[in-house]
Amino acid sequence: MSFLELNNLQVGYEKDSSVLNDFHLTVEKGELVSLLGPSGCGKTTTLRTIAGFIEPTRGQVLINARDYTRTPPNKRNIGLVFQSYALFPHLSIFENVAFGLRMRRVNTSDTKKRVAAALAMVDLTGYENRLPAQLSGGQRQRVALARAVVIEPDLLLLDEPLSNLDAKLRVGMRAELHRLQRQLGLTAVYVTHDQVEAMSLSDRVLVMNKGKIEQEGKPEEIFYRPATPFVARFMGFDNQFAGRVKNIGDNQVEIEAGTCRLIARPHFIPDVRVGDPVDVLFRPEVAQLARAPGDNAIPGEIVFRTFQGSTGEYLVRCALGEFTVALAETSPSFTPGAIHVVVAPENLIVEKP
Amino acid sequence: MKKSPLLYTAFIIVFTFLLGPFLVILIASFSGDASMAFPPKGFSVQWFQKVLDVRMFRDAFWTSLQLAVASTLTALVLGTPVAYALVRFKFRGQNVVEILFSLPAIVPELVLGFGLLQYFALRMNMPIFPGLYFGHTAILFPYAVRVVSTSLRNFDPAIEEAAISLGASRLKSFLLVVMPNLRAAFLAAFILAFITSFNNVSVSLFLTGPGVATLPIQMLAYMEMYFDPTIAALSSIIIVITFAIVQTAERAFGISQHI
Repeated sequence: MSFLELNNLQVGYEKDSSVLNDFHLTVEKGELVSLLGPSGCGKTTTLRTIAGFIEPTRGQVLINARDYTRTPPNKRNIGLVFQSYALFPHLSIFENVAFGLRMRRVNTSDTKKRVAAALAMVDLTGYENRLPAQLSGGQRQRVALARAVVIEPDLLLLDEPLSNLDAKLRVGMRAELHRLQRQLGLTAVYVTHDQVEAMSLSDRVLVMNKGKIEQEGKPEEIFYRPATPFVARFMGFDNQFAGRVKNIGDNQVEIEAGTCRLIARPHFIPDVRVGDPVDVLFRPEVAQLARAPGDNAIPGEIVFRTFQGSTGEYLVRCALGEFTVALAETSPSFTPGAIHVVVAPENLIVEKP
Repeated sequence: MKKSPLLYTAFIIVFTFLLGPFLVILIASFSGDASMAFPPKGFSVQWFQKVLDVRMFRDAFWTSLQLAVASTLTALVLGTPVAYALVRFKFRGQNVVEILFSLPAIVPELVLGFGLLQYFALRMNMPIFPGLYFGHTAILFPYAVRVVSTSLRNFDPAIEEAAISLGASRLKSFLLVVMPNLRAAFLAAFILAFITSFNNVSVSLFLTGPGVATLPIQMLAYMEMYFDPTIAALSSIIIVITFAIVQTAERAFGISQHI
């Protein structure tokens, strides 16, 4: 039996597509599972249902083999970290962290010890008497983290905790979060719309769309073997065109798309037959540009190029559609005109439309 | 920045209209003459002395003060949960409830006063002070709901949820986390409602009766009989006190952002 189990969960009514239907989720002890998806996919609803702020119309929430489905949120031992930090503005940092302990009637000396330990853990010793408004965004989120873990929660829930931080700080906080979660052996559910965040933090990722799980697996699996076009696009397979299966060989599929014949040798070949229509996808970073025609080359025309720092992005218009190709800045640049987009067979994935 | 003469003139005119009456009253209250006139003849503080000496003003002042405090507190105590429910929960018929609760602010006060007279005094035979108290509570209630709900709307619900997830009940999280952060809003609501009650004429007009009068009603009654600067002196006192209260609250809590 898993540590956290959501069984057959339904939230809201069936006609509303943004809520959950027949939803299952299991999280093992000490595991960090990410719910990844665009806004409105149901990931926050799932988190709020685990926390107890939303009561499901059907199904069960089990934590450590105990049924929590009808338990009010203040009677669940769950730590929550919010995108907006949600610190208590009128209380000092010490009192913010001590809040959960005061609610549990922990005695004064233990409270002092545990708050000090929690603040030391997030590297904020000495900030006890400040007010939240006197801290930076990153510091505030660390206080929020200390406040959530000081109660020794059974479960830590994080709702886009890094989204309000600037890019540089986000990377640092991500590492710190990862370290803390491992160190304390916390079981955590992490909600995000950022695939990099989900990839780097999680033991397991669930990609959600319209209240359903599109794919579930290790970060590498999802990244290299997206099971549906939706997941593929979410994982950065920004280029897509339609084709037809011409031939199926050993570990490879031959595809006819317009006037092109392409070989795809993906990690995962869906259940397709010769003649079936398919979607073919590839990432902008794996494509190359070539003047001369060749194998797996799609003819087209460069529309424009944008400078993006370490890469240069080309927009190429082909008969099959418009593709983005990202080349390292060190590679020779191409001037607008006729060109071929070349994608190695290993970098093409095939999906049932 | 170059001053536009047109804008400058408009500014002067608007301020004259807004503050002119106050100035006239303030100056007239120091008149040495026994009848209201502007500009006044002579200078004296005798009218201020008279305000303090006239018994009916003292009684009416206490009535008004008690009435304003009692009805304001009642409106806040009743209005806060309503505001909370309107902001935090979604329920069927929410719009209807919202309109219903703002009705006393929309219906002309004379109509409301007349209705309350019919109901309280004639139908229920209610004594005068309770009638006034219920009447004022009714007109203050929408103010309380509006001011409190406006500031609740700007208060991140996640903060409350954080408190709940840490083990506080909904009530405890409201008292320990929401209330302390809405102090300024409550004070703004209190002052706004208090002044509204203290200055109210139209509803009080119907609900006062023999022996019990609020200060504005007493002032009206006095003016029907006498036309000396006592009223001007009393008005000046009220203006200064009101101004002092609002200024102090503004300095201490910045209440104007909640109104």
